[in-house]
Amino acid sequence: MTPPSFANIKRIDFGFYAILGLIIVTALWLLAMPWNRDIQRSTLNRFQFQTRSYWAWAAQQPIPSMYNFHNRFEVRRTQSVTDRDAVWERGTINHFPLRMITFGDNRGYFLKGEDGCVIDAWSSYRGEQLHTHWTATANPAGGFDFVGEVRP
Amino acid sequence: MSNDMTSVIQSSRPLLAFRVVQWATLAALAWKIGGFVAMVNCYVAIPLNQDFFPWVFRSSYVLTFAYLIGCISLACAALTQSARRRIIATIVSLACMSILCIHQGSHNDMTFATAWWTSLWSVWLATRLPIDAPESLIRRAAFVSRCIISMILLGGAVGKWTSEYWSGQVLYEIYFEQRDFWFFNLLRSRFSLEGLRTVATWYSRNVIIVETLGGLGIWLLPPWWAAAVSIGVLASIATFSNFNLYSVLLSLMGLAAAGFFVALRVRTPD
Repeated sequence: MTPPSFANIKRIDFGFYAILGLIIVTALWLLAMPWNRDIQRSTLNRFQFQTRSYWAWAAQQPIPSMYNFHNRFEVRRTQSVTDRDAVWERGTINHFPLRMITFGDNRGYFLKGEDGCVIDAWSSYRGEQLHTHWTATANPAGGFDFVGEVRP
Repeated sequence: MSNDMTSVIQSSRPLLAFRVVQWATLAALAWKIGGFVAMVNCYVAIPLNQDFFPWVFRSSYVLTFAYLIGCISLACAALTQSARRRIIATIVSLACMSILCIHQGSHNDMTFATAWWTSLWSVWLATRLPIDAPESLIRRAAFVSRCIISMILLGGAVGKWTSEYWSGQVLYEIYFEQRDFWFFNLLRSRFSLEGLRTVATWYSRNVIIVETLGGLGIWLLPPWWAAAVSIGVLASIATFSNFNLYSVLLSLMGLAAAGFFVALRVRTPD
């Protein structure tokens, strides 16, 4: 029996099967999400940067998640003001609820000069929920420090 | 049409499909160029120190570099006649889309997630163009393209399989309450608050059903039908909700068009 020649190996379309495999794995992940609590938690954590490892979060980014979950946010001007009347802005948003600060030019609206802000974010999906609380504080070296914690 | 011309068209179908996808992805990236510039200016003026992201994926310069190089490599892939340069250009654009998917300043934008999938398809097709017979290659390319589109629509659908979306509450809050867009402005001018809430319910259910059917069914359709249905569905999503979504969907519309190259029939003289 003769070993396969290089030309024959080259003709086998490994890339085709690899892409199909990736699509199938992604589709199975998505199809399991409504019933699998671990996948739900993983995606909720992804939306609010609570994944334990950045690289585990990054690996999930190609998984399509347009207009997924019920994502809400509230922004307050300072850490000391906590009553609901002091809410600067609140709303429902399509996916990553912290985008109000992390993404786009909204940042310029909420973070000016030395003034920081506080943001609460909620994501929910079929009974699973995640609430995080974040503070943006001016850093003397420039910009703002953005720190968050999970709230019960 | 002469036999020579027929043969040229048949042999170039996968390459034509490849080029359409590169231009469509480039158009998708360029769609929000104004917003991108404003966004990067804001990031430069107000950096956000968030430990979750490694510094390299917080840098505005990395973001700008990935965006620009991504655009240039897409144009190079579309224009070059060299198979080797085409492969290199697609690998570079895939790398740039990967950076844009995981960068602090662009992770939220699904433009880069859809462009990541079209770039992955492009890398694969570019490597096969010099090797495979055009007819079988374009059939596989169209099959992979409709599998990708199905999977992406499924991603949209599954996240909406909730009572909040089925009741229309989420999309009511996002779009119907205040969004300044022709379709929602029109609806607000025509319906009372109560009527608007009912319209939101049916709008949301329509989105869920269309995305679910598309996600579960498009990959099963014949190539031409899959292409036509995909482009129709994708265009309707952006036209009736947010023109900015064309940046997310143009690359997928180009990918869907690969199906038309399978169905293309060239008349040959008797």
